[in-house]
Amino acid sequence: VIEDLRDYPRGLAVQADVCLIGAGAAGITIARELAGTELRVCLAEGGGLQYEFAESQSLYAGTNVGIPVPLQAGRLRFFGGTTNHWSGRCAPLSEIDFRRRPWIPHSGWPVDRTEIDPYYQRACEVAGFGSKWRSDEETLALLKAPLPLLNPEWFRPFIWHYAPAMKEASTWRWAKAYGTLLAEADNVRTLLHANFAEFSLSRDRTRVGSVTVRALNGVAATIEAKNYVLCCGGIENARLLLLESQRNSGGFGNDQDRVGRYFMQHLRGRAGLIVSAEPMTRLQNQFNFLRGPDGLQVEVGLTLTPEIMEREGLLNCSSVLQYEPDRESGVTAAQDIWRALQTGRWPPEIGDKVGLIAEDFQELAGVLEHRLASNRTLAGGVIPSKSAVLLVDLEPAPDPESRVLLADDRDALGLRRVRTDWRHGERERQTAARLASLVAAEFARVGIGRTRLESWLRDERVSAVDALDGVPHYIGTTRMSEDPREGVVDRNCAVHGMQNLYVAGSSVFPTAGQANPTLTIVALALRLAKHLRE
Amino acid sequence: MAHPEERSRALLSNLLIAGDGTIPSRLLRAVARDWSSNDVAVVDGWLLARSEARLCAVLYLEEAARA
Repeated sequence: VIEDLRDYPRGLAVQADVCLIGAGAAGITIARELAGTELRVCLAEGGGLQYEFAESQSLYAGTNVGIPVPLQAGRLRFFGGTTNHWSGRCAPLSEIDFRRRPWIPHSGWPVDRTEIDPYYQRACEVAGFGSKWRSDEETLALLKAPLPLLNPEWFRPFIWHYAPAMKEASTWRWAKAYGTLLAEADNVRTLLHANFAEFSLSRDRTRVGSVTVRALNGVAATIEAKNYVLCCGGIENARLLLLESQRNSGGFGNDQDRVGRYFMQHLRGRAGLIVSAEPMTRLQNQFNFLRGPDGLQVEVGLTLTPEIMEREGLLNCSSVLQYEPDRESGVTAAQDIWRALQTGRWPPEIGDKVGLIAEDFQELAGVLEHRLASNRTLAGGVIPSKSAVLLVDLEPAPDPESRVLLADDRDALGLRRVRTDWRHGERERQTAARLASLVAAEFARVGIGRTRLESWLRDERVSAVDALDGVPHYIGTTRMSEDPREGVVDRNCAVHGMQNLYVAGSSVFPTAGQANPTLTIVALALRLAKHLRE
Repeated sequence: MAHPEERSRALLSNLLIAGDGTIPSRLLRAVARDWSSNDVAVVDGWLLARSEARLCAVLYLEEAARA
């Protein structure tokens, strides 16, 4: 059943076995997993079923003292959480991401990839792929575009899978996919507009006795459960633990001052421009957003081998290409005219474009024939291109000084707002520079094109902070470690020093890898659900 | 990236055309070897094989000597 806390003006007392706080990818996955079991589940979500900026979303406001972090735009405070603006881009973390890497301080998970693998398989189903997730080898074979023979000592292809579209949504949406299932589950009670207010502790301070949640109209509920899981996202999980640690003069995983530290975001930057004398058609069918049979949608890029990362002390990283339209091509000119006419406009510089079409008429006729045969419009499919932007995606290095803190001002519920001090540094620049240089050299060797590298990769006086954008994946603030001096939760995602408080989400990742985090969030949520059942 | 130690036409020429075969074939081999071993130089952002950069430097020094 899904209810709105505001509909209970006298308040509410709920008994449950498991209380999940936050209904994003992690919270919904655990609730879905426990639906239909013997456990009574209460899923408390701060927002409603829709985006409400003036109410719920404004609770996310905060301040930045380091590199700016989009605290409002990067998060969504309503049922479904950030899955409501998820692109569907999925990849598991690599085996090396879980390892302790002596060249990266604070690296290493207390679990290895083989322990997570069975959950990755099921995570693919939860993320909308059903049984259609394919291995890299199968995917490349289905695409029928053999990759160029790049140096296998340096590179491996890296494949991002895109979750399928849903009716009225361009990609998979957890709220849409699982809302009905949760609403109909007899053992799951979802409370909307139920914002975390405070925990009450047992006398020995090792157990949470209950949690109070509150709507913005003042109505409160007390949820008494056997186990509690924070599923509020990479920033909010840390904020709530910091609030409770401060209110209780310690505890909540923060006795060693670890909560909120190691705050990371993935980084993306423009590394260079690859140019070619000839159209890049073949490359565009190899490294690009590609579609295959049976709804297959992927992006193919490159990553470095673990051996070269280790030998050269690099972070995990990958690279993709963004093709630029060839402005001298008659096909591009015809596409421009087509698009303009579709929007009822007369295209600018029509004379020049007609001239280009006349010069390339034969090629244009061939493209048209192919598009019509494949039932595509002229503007669909591969654009003619002789240049491509080389983009790099980087794993950030864990840094205890990069952190989430509490600000002095308070939100509408009277809780201290968040303050972020996000940092990244020279190690990320060095990794980007090496990756770009290796890609450029290899593309030159096999005759793909020549590359001009961006100035931030070759001149230390140019700011890497300005060149690199943070991708709003908030990671590391309640990191997993068997040693309470090094982390906030243990290998089962239980908060150190607490017997019945758990954390789910990317905040428990000790390192971020370079892959998008959703699949790993879901895999760990499935693993935690199993732990809670047992 | 500056390489003042290679600021000599004679030295650069020797480095470029060492080996057997015609000069173009030796240059092509040297460039291929550079790419395979990632022996590269960055000139105004452009990533060049070391031998390509040396060839450009020789040509520049020749022009400068004539002027």
